[in-house]
Amino acid sequence: MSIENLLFSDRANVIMKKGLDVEMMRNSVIAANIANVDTPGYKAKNIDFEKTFQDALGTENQLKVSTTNSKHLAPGIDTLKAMEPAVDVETDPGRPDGNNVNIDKEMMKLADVQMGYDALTTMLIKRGSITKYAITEGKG
Amino acid sequence: MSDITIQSGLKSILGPGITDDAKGQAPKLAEGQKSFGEVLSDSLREVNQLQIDADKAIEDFSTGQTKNVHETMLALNKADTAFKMTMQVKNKIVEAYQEIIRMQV
Repeated sequence: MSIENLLFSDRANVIMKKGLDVEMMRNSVIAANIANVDTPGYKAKNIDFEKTFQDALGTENQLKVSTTNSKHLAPGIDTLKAMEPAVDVETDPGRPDGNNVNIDKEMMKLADVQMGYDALTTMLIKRGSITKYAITEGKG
Repeated sequence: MSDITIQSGLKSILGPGITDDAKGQAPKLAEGQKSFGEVLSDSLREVNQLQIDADKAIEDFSTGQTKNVHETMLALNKADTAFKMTMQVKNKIVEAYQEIIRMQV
């Protein structure tokens, strides 16, 4: 039983780390979009990971993902760790030069990403402090 | 290995309340009252449930299920505080036990 599996591989930690990874990727994609606001023919890129994430974890609002066979397992920790978000292309209508980067939208997405990143980092630290407290037994 | 003088001394002081049959039995509780052990295990179960709820709140936030940061932070803080209090209670109980053990009869 390695330390990695013991301390850092429970579901919440893996999910948080994956969330942070996705926010970093979103940041790069938005930066690329903003840098290419004048490039003719450039289509804005987007990462929409939430749906895939929710489906994988079975936490959607509408239906609980049910298994047809009792031997089908819920996604394991390794599957979660290996999930990669896909970059897809924005479907906004473009301007005459073929570029469809909407700078306001990109700015809003950027603010969203930054807030999400900060929130996830704080949660990660908070949760880690509970484990640390258990280890030190509250005696400093 | 019973000390006859202590037992007979106790009987004379406390009257017929203490008998050999009652030795080692837990005191009878009134209706609806819980024993200390039950209270402890219920509290532990509650604290554990708070941890589970905090994890669920984190999951919901990360997957975009809920956009409310404050919900998640509140759940996390509840779990943190409850855990800290439980830890200190456990420390005190262990301390008390050690002090009793050290007592010289």
